[in-house]
Amino acid sequence: MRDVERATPAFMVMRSRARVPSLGAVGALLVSLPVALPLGYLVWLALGASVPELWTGLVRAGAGMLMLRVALMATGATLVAVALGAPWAWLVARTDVPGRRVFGWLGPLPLAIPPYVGALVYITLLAPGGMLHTGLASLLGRSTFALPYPGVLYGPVGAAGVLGVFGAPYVFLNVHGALQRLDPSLEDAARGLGLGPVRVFRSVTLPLLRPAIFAGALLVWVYAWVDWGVVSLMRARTFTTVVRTYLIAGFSLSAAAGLSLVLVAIVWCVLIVQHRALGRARYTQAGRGRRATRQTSLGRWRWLAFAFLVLAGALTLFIPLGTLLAQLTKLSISELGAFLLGQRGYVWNSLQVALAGSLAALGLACLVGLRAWRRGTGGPASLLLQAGYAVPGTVLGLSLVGLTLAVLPWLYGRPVLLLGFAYVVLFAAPTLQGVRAALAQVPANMEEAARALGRGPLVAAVRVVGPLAGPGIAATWLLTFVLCLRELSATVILRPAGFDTLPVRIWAHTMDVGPDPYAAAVALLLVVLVGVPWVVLLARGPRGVTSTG
Amino acid sequence: MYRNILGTLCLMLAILVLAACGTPTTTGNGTDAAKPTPTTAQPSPEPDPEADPDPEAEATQSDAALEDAELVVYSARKEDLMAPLVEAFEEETDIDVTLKSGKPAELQLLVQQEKDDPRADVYFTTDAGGAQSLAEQGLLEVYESPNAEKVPAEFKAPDNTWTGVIGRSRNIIINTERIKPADAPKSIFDLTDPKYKNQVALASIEEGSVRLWLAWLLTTRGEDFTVQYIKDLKANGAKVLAENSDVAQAVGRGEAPIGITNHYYYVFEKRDNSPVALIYPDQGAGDTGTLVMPLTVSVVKGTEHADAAKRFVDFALSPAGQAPLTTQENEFPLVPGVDLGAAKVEGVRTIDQIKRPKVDFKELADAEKRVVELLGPELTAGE
Repeated sequence: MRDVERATPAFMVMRSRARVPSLGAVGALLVSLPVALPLGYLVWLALGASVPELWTGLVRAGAGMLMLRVALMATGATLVAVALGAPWAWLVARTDVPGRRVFGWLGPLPLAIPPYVGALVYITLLAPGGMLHTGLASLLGRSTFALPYPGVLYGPVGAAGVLGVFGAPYVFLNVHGALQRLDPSLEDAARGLGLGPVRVFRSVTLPLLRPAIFAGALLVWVYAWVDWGVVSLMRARTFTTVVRTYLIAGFSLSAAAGLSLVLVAIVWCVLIVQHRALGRARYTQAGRGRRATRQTSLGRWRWLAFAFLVLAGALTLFIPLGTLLAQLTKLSISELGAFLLGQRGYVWNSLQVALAGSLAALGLACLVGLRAWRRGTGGPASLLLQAGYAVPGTVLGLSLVGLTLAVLPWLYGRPVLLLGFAYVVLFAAPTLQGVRAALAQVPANMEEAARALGRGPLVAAVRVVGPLAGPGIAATWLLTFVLCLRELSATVILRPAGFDTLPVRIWAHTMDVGPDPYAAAVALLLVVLVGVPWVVLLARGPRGVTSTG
Repeated sequence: MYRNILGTLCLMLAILVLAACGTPTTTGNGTDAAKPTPTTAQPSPEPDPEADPDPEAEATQSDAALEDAELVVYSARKEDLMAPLVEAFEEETDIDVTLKSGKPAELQLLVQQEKDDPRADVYFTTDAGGAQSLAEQGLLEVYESPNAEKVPAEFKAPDNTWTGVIGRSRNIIINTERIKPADAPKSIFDLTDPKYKNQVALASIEEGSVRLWLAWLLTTRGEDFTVQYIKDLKANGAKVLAENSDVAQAVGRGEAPIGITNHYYYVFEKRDNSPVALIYPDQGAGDTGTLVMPLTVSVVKGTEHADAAKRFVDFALSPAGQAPLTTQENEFPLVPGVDLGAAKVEGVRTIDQIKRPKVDFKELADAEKRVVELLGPELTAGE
């Protein structure tokens, strides 16, 4: 199947409307029911809030200016994430940069560090009176020393920085998946036409990577709108902090639900803009992507590229992890061993719920994504499925309690199913983005060809589309798995008493006083849990650089 | 190769389906393994939501039946701080306790959402205003513990829906490297003085203690005064940080030399070797004193384990329960006769040594709504 070839040039933008029978509109809406139901419940809750309450909420928050500021902050975070994540993925997948294999492994690991823990680390390091300042002060022999940046560290700029740094792996994973699949013959052809490496990158590689970069960037951008932990620690006011105030200080789930719907509307606008920007373009190529890829030789830039990787690795991984590890030295080896051994129940809990959530989300995303890919457009099901990402976890968690107890009380108290459900609602969007980006590189007529040859739709999807979109989909699954694995705000509410996951443990050890050594130890476990499936995927999947087809 | 991946995914899915369906209600078992750690108190099997209530237990209420009960305690206090109480209670009664920790407002909303099918037996919160609000919604059981007799009346709900267990005071914490003791503020009203420009931090309206504190000002000094005070504070460059812990850490680092927060954060910072001092404001002869707020415990309405829950309340109010609740962060026992002993941190006063106003927490809880309306936007964290 891999060697299906077409006579047409390898790289083209297709606008085809494949007439392949696919999941009907009704079916697609049914599939998005798990997200549509909670969303409907949020609407119902919001109707319980008085309009003046919501309106004054928006006006008092200075909604217009606030949104502009948050949009700027989110854009800043996205730029940082793309600047770190995209080159990282390209360097390790396509160049001869030193240490590319190690940095390839490290790429998605920062995802395991909960962003609010990352923010805490950067505050303890950089805040006035923090480690950097006291360190510099003692170095200079002064009692105090202050770098003149507190106004920058806190507020939207600092928040954008932290969100961007910890958003980089989203971009990395998406781009890395796309590069695995990218047909090197396109680049070869461009080279053969006499284009220099820079031109090749700009006119061939970059356009092909556009959907993946967009998918990753969108996740970071929207996350900046939804995040609460980082922005509150970095002292930036966002729309979500306003929602939180209504929820926490006003005890009004109705008002919080109503304001969350505004976030949903924003996400929908962005999705529509994204759709317009990418058009219905498909970046397809013939199926010879498994050939040996020629590494771009960086020449004298090698070490500069290496320095970039070290810097990106330091910002996203080494510094936060190092700070946490330094905490571990407060424990003796035997204490640490006993503690880690004691965490195995939580590890198992985390694995169960994260697997349930990620696989269910992947299944839904594949169904809806395939339909969108065949039709060339997502449609309402796709929009619906992605709305949940915009709902703050606390609001979603509390609403799901009410919803499940009203509709399906049997579900409440069954953590694997209930948390899996919540994770589908929260993370269907990133999953669908990843799946669509992966599918965007598969030519639609290959499936048609398989169908024409008498294969059933399922076989066509699994055996033709599967292998081509495989690496991207596998990377997407990993991303969703990690997002589920580290979810905190909905989990804290929805878990039955006694059913803790690793992020809940980190939170329990961090609450009120900042992370203690035990929080660091649990964070370390989380990094391992994220690292293992990634290394397995890397080992089993095609190695972008070395494998041959 | 992809078939391998697909196969792996299918296998995982199969395992999950088995895990999800095969063991529908014994989900807590996973955490049992975690029991050895001293800092985790909870892992006992989660109560089976579907299990038929044991008819014998219902009928006889013997001690043996109580011992079979598994008590779910929703706790707004850090798990480490609750663990010693839970362990002592389990030791004493053989009743297994499972803690579900969360932020006070989250747990309060959760109890509201679960009102038709309560999953908590005991509600332990750091926010008396929130407890009063739940009581007014009829979600808390009336229970007057025999041990509550000695708790000062102001720290108990008039209808006995909640009982104060331990207390905390509203304080000023200063960084002694940045503020000389002679220059330290003596009153919260000093903090609007230009002398303290850009030096003060306080927590946002999301903190229950901030709402209660302002509700106290509101009810004693009036709306205009309270709003003006906060406006003046902010005009004097006071920073609004999300939570009390953020305020304490900012003071500890010297980033904001003066913080308005609760007294036990001083204990945390002191243990971290931060250069901090604790100030009890407004203690002079003609002054108002500073607010002392209770942490409260309640039996949740509709619980199937009301008797075990009541025993938990009794135990928390007994000397054997007060000691493990207070030694770690030096909060005040509300039952007389409990001494912190060696655990007392220098600078922390006992409740008898603090000049404090007599307040009606029911009234304050009612005033909280107005506080949020008036000051919500002023006291939202962030820039």
